[in-house]
Amino acid sequence: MRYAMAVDLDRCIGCRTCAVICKDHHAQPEGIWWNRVFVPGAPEYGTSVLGDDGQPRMEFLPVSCQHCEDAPCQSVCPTGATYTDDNGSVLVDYERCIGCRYCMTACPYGVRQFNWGHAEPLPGTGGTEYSYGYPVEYRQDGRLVYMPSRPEGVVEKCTFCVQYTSQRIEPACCAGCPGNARIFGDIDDPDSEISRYLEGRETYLLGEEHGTHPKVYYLKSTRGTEDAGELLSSYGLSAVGATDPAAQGTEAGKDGE
Amino acid sequence: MGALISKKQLCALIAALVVTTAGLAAWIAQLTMGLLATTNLSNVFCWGLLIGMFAFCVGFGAGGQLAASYIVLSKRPELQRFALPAQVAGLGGAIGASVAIIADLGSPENILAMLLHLNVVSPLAWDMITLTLFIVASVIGIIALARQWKSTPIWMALGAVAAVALQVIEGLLFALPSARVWWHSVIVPIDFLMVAVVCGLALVQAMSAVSARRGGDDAMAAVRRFGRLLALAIIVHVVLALAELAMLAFEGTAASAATLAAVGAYAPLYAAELGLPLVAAVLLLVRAGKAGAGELGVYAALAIIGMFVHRLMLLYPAFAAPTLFSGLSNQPSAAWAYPMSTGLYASSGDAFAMTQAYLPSPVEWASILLPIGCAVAVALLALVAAKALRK
Repeated sequence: MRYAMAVDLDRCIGCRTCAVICKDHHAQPEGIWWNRVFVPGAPEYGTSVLGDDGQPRMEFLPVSCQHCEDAPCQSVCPTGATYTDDNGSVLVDYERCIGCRYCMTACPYGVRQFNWGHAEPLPGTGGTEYSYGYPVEYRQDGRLVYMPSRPEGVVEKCTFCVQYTSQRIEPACCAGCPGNARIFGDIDDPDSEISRYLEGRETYLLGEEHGTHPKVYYLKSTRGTEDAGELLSSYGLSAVGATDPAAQGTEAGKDGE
Repeated sequence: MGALISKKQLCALIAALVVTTAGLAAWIAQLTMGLLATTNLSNVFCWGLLIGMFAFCVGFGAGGQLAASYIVLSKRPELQRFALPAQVAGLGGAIGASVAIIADLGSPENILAMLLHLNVVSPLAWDMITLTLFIVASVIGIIALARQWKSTPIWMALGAVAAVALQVIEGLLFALPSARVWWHSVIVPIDFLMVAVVCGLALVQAMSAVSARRGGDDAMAAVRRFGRLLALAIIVHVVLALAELAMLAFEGTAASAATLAAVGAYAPLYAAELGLPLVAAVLLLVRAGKAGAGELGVYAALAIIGMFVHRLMLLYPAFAAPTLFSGLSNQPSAAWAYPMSTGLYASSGDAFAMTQAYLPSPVEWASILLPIGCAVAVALLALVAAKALRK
């Protein structure tokens, strides 16, 4: 059994719900983001970039831990704090992490996050402290892989929501994605949702040149590659926004049949 | 005690302990106030000055051992009195490196995991094992030299092997992971070895220059001899560094282009890394027969400063260049750098960034006094211990 995730870029609308819901469910301290979404090539979020064809494009790319088969973070970790569990998820044992940050230098995806300091408690209503996230610590075979109040000086990252998937609940980013752009499951099971979704589709991996064999599969966006005029005329519209009476009539005629 | 330690050595030891205390205070400040409040590090630039000092101390220690081994094994009588100082400098460097790496840990309270759960495939684990063995070899070497064991040459040879292993493994620690193109090169472990040779030769050059200024005639011959060797080692190091730069320039990837841009951004530091030792090498060759001991000592100092800057430049282009690049779907030409979360939450900090400028904070500068002070104190105590063993 190997957990994997597919990210369909055609379905991603760039809302960043996955980043926020991930932060919320994992009580990520201030400044820490396990999950991030940007427009490749754009200096600012929500900015389009010019493609090779000179046409502006805006494509959203969510990036979190790739849960690599050959995870460099795991091989360089001197204490074995980073390990791959039986489900193929790459996890960090907070009680074994010595905070050397070697894993951060070895990860080509820049997804590992270090707790640089004490995060001040967030004020809640009525003089209380605002708390968020999965409320109790989670241990896997005795190893501390999640706790709501993160220790300082250790490295953390996406766990494929181990505290949920162990209860057969899908990861928060998948559950929260309004476009269903993220599909999760057992890649070794041909009947799993992810296997069925990926069947016959072309995927690509991030940072393939590093030989890490990620378990996050991306489906390329096909948007913006079609001729705008053709696309519009398929809806009975012309490029200047005026409707094509002939086409409209045809469509209307079809509708009327 | 008075017979074992000179007044100058005692003053130096007290100064080293004061420096150590200042460094300890900075480290305690980091532990209690947090790295966010006391350093300028982030998820983008996650290794800083202490790691630079760690790498420098390892090279300096290995260099001291290599110099001591060369002196003993070459059997040149005019050099023999420099063997013990070089050997204790080797031990001091290794202790300084050990202190620096421990002081840099985010969770030193979990350090027992290094013993209980050591991951033997980790280059950092290899490095720690080799560093420990190197310290053991250094201590035995000091005892062998002090007691003038018949087996001293064997221990010196073993010490040299430990020094070479330490430097090569240290180089592999950086070179093996592929994420940073600045490090991911076969040249890195070789150059690490050459840096150790430069440090060792410069150390003995400086010691013999001091001795020559006190009037030792044979010391002047040693200064000149080491001067030529030092110049040669510097030139090899510079050639290796430039070869690495050329390989990077011809790699033609987005990552290599970004790294080259980062090298350009830190051009003054890079120029100092190569320029200072190169100037020293040229002058050592041109003025070897004419220069006085003081002048030759200055060249040795320039070489050592250059090696320290080299260790800093190990970090700057590696962390100032992004590691993740992505293009748009069905667009083959462009690959853009992808931002990462900085981990900072100060009001002035960026939440996401592709690169980050790094200037060590005052606390970070103060924290490197800890390994420096420990290195000097241990070296001085080793000298005293060697004197006691002789008696």
